[in-house]
This record gives sequence, structure tokens and C-alpha cells, in this order.
Amino acid sequence: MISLIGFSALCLSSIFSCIVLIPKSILQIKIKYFLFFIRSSTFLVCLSFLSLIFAYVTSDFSNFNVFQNSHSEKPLIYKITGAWGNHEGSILLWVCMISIYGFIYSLLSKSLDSFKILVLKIQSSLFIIFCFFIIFTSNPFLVNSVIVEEGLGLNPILQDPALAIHPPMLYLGYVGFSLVFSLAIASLLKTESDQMWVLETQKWSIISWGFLTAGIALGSYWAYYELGWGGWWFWDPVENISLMPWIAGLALVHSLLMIKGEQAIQRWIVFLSILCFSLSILGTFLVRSGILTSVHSFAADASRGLFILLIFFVTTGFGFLVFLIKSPTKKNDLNLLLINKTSALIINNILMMIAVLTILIGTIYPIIIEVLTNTRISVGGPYFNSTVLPILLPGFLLMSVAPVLSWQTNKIKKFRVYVICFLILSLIITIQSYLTTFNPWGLIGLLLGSWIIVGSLISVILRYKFSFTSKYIKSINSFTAHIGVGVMIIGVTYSSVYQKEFNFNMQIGDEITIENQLLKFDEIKIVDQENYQSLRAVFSLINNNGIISYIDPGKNYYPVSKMITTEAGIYHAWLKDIYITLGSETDNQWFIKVYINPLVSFIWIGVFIMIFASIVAVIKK
Amino acid sequence: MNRAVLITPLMVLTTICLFFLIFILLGKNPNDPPSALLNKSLPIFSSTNLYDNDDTLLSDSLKGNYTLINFFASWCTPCRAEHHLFFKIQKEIPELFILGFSHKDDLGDSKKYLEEEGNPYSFVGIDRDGKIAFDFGVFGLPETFIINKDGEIIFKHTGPLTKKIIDDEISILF
Amino acid sequence: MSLRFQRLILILLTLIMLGAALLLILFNTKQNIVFFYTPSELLENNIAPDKKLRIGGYVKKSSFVKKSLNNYEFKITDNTNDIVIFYKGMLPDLFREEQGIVVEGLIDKNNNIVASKVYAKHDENYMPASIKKELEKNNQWKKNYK
Repeated sequence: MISLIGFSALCLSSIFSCIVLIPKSILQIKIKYFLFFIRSSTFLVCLSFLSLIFAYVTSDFSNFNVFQNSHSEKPLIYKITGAWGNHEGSILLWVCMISIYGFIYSLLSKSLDSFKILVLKIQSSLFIIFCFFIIFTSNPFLVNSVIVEEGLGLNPILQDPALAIHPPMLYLGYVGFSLVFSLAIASLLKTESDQMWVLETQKWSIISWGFLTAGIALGSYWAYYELGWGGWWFWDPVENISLMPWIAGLALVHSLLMIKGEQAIQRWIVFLSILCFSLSILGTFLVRSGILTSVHSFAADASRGLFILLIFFVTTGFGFLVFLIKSPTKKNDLNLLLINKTSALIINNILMMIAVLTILIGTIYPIIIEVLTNTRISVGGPYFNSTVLPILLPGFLLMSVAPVLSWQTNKIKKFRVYVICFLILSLIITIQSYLTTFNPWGLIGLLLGSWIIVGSLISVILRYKFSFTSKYIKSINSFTAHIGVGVMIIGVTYSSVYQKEFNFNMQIGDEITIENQLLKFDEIKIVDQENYQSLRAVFSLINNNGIISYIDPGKNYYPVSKMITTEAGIYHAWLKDIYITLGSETDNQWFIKVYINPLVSFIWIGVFIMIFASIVAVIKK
Repeated sequence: MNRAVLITPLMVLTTICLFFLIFILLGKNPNDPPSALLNKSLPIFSSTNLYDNDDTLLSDSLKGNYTLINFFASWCTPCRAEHHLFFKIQKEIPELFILGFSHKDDLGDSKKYLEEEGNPYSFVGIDRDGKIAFDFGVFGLPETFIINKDGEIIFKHTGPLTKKIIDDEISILF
Repeated sequence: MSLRFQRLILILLTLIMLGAALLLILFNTKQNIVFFYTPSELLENNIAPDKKLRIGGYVKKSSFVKKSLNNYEFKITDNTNDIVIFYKGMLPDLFREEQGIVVEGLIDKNNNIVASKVYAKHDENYMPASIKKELEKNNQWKKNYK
């Protein structure tokens, strides 16, 4: 019954969106009714999604999707998140978000009515395309053809709070770019010379980018403590795929800044907007079609893959075609002068595009090779580390000097202060790294990161009078974001270059010494939880002043799916994480892996600063 | 010059899509090893004929023949939907021994069901308590298995059969 | 500086960066690519020893030997050919016999593999718990036909 409601709501919602698309020559719709249709379409698709959630909550196994992905013994929270933990549900969530973005745009936009209608029409077409995809190939409301009393459960590795909110966050980012795409296409098709769309694109691209950042960070935080491999980024295809629109979005956000110098390069902005959304769909396509296998991928289905490929080709092709035909003709009076902010931004943009390209090539290279030569290969972390990082380095270098440059002139502000500070800083860092363990990559990362932080800090101090007002926070916002990046670079460098790994065989009661700290194996605890049984090895971390903390790595056993997952035990401190995973046991000897990950907390702090900056940027002036 | 730059994204897009298209059409999957899950031998069972209390069928007697085993019940609506397809299978693959199990069902109801829908089965066994289905690992009705001459399960499908499954997956076994 | 000259420099700069990126890509695709085989393909292809590769298949039934703590030996099969794998380290949680896995490692002279990483594939279809419990009660758990 609830499935029927959900499905009818979905169909009705796509019909409403179709009505909106009827051209003016056939049916003249007043703007009032136009908006009514758009908004009721949003309500209906939300109703549809809510009914799916309801079916999950009530464990209605007459719905095939619920039967396959849920289980009556699961805790309520994972029943709810199960609704988007599978292919069909997640695409419904995606569609729902497309509609919601259109809805919010219709409420907030201050553009001319004709432009607004154009944007909403494009947004609705995207909505309809994805609705058809759901209705024809991945309907979450299918009736179960088998009569059963119990469902098939959900992968326990996915039963995790971070992973439960990770897909919606990521999708909010991906889908946000659909609105940016609509805005860009509408700006090409419009007849008036209103420039409002640039400001709107700026706002929406920052929103999408912020959500995407949060989504990716949550995903890698999950990988950090759930996968038990000691790291937080593995260049897994799925990670790469989310990184591509992220970098493209970053490029977009930055090129939109160039309006500050009154040199809006429209063509480039439009191109990036289209690119961001097409990379988002490409990501969905590659993951959902099962072409790239990874932890997150769902079962491969050729017809589904073909359909998303078609969507990808049609939307992206249409976007670029419009771009080709109606490309903005306004002569761009770029005044480069070579040493100013605009040129730095342009070079940074080019670098980001090249980075996207290398990631793209690395990700789809196995597919190309298999089609051409029929051999199967995999491109792993080393490839990405040694191609993407060298490309990003000059970008970071530019970032550290960017605050010095001015928008309009060739003059460098307060040149001497910066140079002196940079020199002193570099000297300190070089000496410091020679005295400790020297590593060229570590040095480079630390130098760049601290340059960026110090460069931004000096600019903030020299240029703005400190006050606790929102105006102050707003005006130093771009520097805040850059400080976040700097902090993150230091965290990333340290946690990857100076990571240490130890292996031990331990018995209960054994003690080991790691970096002046004593690690004592206290006991093994077995506790029954709501939907799993947990085994925890309790370690106490002791220094001269006594016990600092307990670390409890272990394993969870999920009886429903007969699966075991590893739970890493992590001791978080500001300067280093102690990360322990528990292996197997023979004759009371437990195999234990201990990682010392320095400065991991800096990564999360950096991400927080970046997200904070994007929130500040969006909030009304 | 300008036009050429603008066309580039379209061309790159087309090339990438073309590769994906070929990839999907070839049905490749870079990390998927071949299935090793089938080819297990069928469980041992003995079952009474629905129409004749003295006639029992032993699992051993199935060897030497290709057998299709279908679990059904009169209370199972999806079973009705697939029922007519067994006549199609019977016609297309006459050498196949079609064995039906009336699963957790009242015997009278089962008989009535087969009267209404027709009886495509060469033998209808009784699985009143669901023990046979249990041994087969059945978890929902309808469910269909195909056993080869050596008594190994070579095909399994949960849920109603469709024409497509018969054409694509069953017919090619013979 | 004229606009024309600026544009020229910009284009040149782009080309240089693009060229550098391409060189990096070409160099790294030669260095950092791992080939993927099934056991049969591996035997057919006669691969030179000490090459890093990935191999995918199922863990052969009753081939798993625990030599000591975290030192394992098992066979990986595609139902036609088997390959012996030596592995020291932590096995993934999902590792068990007859489970699909992917192994990364170096091949030795006897076509055995010294693994550096073992990845288990997620099994997406489970049996319902009620039936599983009953099966376990009757010691028939092994009799699950997928």
C-alpha cells in the first residue's frame, strides 16, 4: 500500500514537472501557476521518498527493495538510513534533492522572472530525466514477488553513523551542481543582459562545494576508523570520483571571484559549471553501473549502466553543445599584467583542470586498456600520489603568495614584510626538519602549508582592523579558507610521510613501549549489543604520569549477516593518533597492528575551517 | 581556433562515452572472478506423491536425468503468475523431468490449484512441513532449481520465472 | 604588454604544464600499474617472476592452512586452475573459504604468489536470519545453495 502511494507520488510529480516544460506558444502558464506546479512536484517527490522511509521503518517486506536491504532486527536508525543505502533508494534521494534545490531556488532567487523560469525549466528537465531512470530501471517501489517474513539485511560494514549521513551530504554536493548547471545553461540561452546569474552561481556553487567537502571528509573519516588500514585516503575509484567535481567546483568558486576584479570571464565560468555537473553524473554512473568495483559499489547491471550512460551523454552533450553554439561573445578584457591576482587565479585554474584530467585518466584508464587490449589492470595509489601531487604543488605555491598580489595593479603590497617572514619561517622549518627525521616530501609539505597559513595571517593582520563583528569575519573569509587548506596540507603531509607502523604478538597482561609511552594489554571483553556482538581488546596507554587513556580495538560480529567487521581503536590527541587494529588469535597470542599517525587531527580541523568559511561565504551580506 | 577549443569538450565526452559503451556491451567486469557457488549436489530427500500415498520419490532416483524442481503453494500468488511457463518449458525441453513440491500447503488446496491452473509437473511431491525446502535453502516462494545428470544444482532462481529467464538462462543449459 | 602577447604567454604556460602532466602520466602508468589475472590466465600468460600483479578468484575449499600466527597459505581457484598463495599479515574480516577474494603480490618462479595484500569481496546477498538459525541448529549451515 505504502509502495503504491510512493510510486504514484513519484509519477505524479514527474507529470507536474512535464507540464512546466510545455512551451509558451502552446500553453501560457502564469508565473503563479508555474511556481505552483514546481513546488507541488517537490512536495510529491518528497512524499514519495518519505513513504519509502516509512516502508523501511515498518519493515514492509512486501516492498522488494525493503526486503533486499533491510531486516526487522536492525536498529531504527539503520532502518531509516537503509532507505538510501542501496541503489534504488539513493537515486530516489538524488532526484528528491534535484527537486528541492529547484524549490529553494524558486523561493530565494531575485532574478528576473523570465530567467528564473528558464532555470527552473532546465532543472525540471533534469528532474524528469532522472525520474524516468528510476521508473524504468531502478524502481524502489517494486512489489516483492516472493512471499517472505524477513528481509535480507544490510551490509554491516555500512551500519555506521558516519556512513549513514555520508551519502546524503555527498549527494547534496553533487546535486547542488545541477542547479549551477541549470544557471549556466540558462545564462547562455537568455536574451536579457542581466548579470544576476553570476552572483547566484557564486552562492550555489559555494553551497554545493561545501556539502561536497563535508561529504568527502565524512567518507574518509569513516574509512579511517572503519576499514582498519591505518589511513584515511586510498585513491579508491569512488574517492577519486568524488574528488574530481570537488576540484572542478573549487576552480569554479575561484573563477567566480574574478568578478571582484570586474573581469568576469563568463565563458570559463559556464564551462566549469557544466563540467562540475557532468563530473558529478560521471561519478554516479561509474559507481552505480558497477563498472568500477569498490567498497561502495552496488551490483552491476548492464541496462542500468546504459541508461545512466545515456543520461550522462545527453545532459553533458547538451550542455557542451549549447556552450558551443551560444558561447558568450562578450569580448573579455582580461588584463593580466602577469603579476596580479587574476593571473594567479587563472594559472591555479589551469592547474586544477590538469589535476582533474590526471585523476580522470587514472580512473578510466583500466577501462580503456581493457577495451583496447583485453588485459585487466588496476591503477593504484602510487600512480595518483606521483602524478597528482606534483601537479598540485605549484598550485599551493601560488596560494601562499596569492595574498600578496593585488587585483588591478602589478604592485606587490607590503612586499618586504612577507619576504622576511617567509625567510625566517623557512629557516626554522628547515633546521627543525634536519634535526628530526628528514624527509624531502615532509619538508616541502610543511613549508608550503606554513607559508600559506603565515601569508594569510599576515594579510589579515595588516589589512583589517580586528573586531568581533560579522563584517570582519566576512571580510577575512577567503583567508580563513586558505588557512584551513594550509592546516590540512600539514596534516596530510605528516600523517602520510611520518606514519609509523608496528606489529606485535601480545598476550593479556603484556606491555610494550612505543615512543616513550607504555601500552598495556588489559583484557578481552565480549559484550552483546542490540544487533551485534562486540569483542574488544582493552589497552591502557600509560606515560610517566599514569594512565592517559584506554584504547579498545576489536571486532563486531553481526549475526544477521554472519559477518565480522574490524573496529579500529583510536586514541585521538592533538599531535598524534594512536591507531590499533586487532588481528587473529592463536594460543592466546593476539596479533596487533599499531599505527602512529601524527597530526591527523589537523586534517579534520582544516576541513572544518574550510566548511566554516563556505558557510560564512553563503550567509547573506 | 576558437571554435576548435570549444568543440574539444564535446569530442572528449564522446570518446569517453564510446569506451564506456563498448565496455558495457562487452559485459566486462574487471574484478569479478567466475562463479564457484553452483555445482553442489542436491540434498537427500524422499517425498510422497500428492495423488498417490504409496508412491514415493527418492532423491537418488533423480540421477541420470535433468530435473527441474519447483516449490509452489496454492496460497502463493506469484506462483500462479509463473505457472503457465512450466508448460512452455515442458514443450521446449521434453527430456526435462519437472518435479513440483507443494510447500506448506493443504493437500486439497494444492489439488484444486493444479486443477485450475493445469498440471505441468511430471511428479508432484508433498512437502507439508517444509523440510525439503529447508534442505534446499529455500527462503521464499516460488523457487526453482535445475539439477543435472550427476545430481548437481546447476541453476537456481528465487521468485517467479519469466520468459526472459527461460530463454536466456535455462534454454542454454540444454 | 599587449593583450595578444599576454594570451600567447598564457597559452604557452598551459601547454608546458599540460606537457609536464602528460609526461608524468605516461611515466607513472608505466611504473604504477598492476595487472589483474584469474588463475587460468596467469598460467596461460607465463609471467616473468618478481612481477607485481593482482589475482582474483575464490579461496579453494579446504586449502587454507594457518602456518603460524599471521602466516597463511591457501589456494585461489577459478574452478579450473589453482594458484598457491603465501601471505603474512592480517586477513580481512570477510575472508573465508569459498569466498571471492583479490590478492595483490609478487609471483615467484613456481607460479606461486607471495601476497602483500588480500582484499575480500563483499557478499551482498545474505540468507534470512531465521532460516540461518535453523540451519545452524541442525548443523546444516554448510548446506547453503546460493
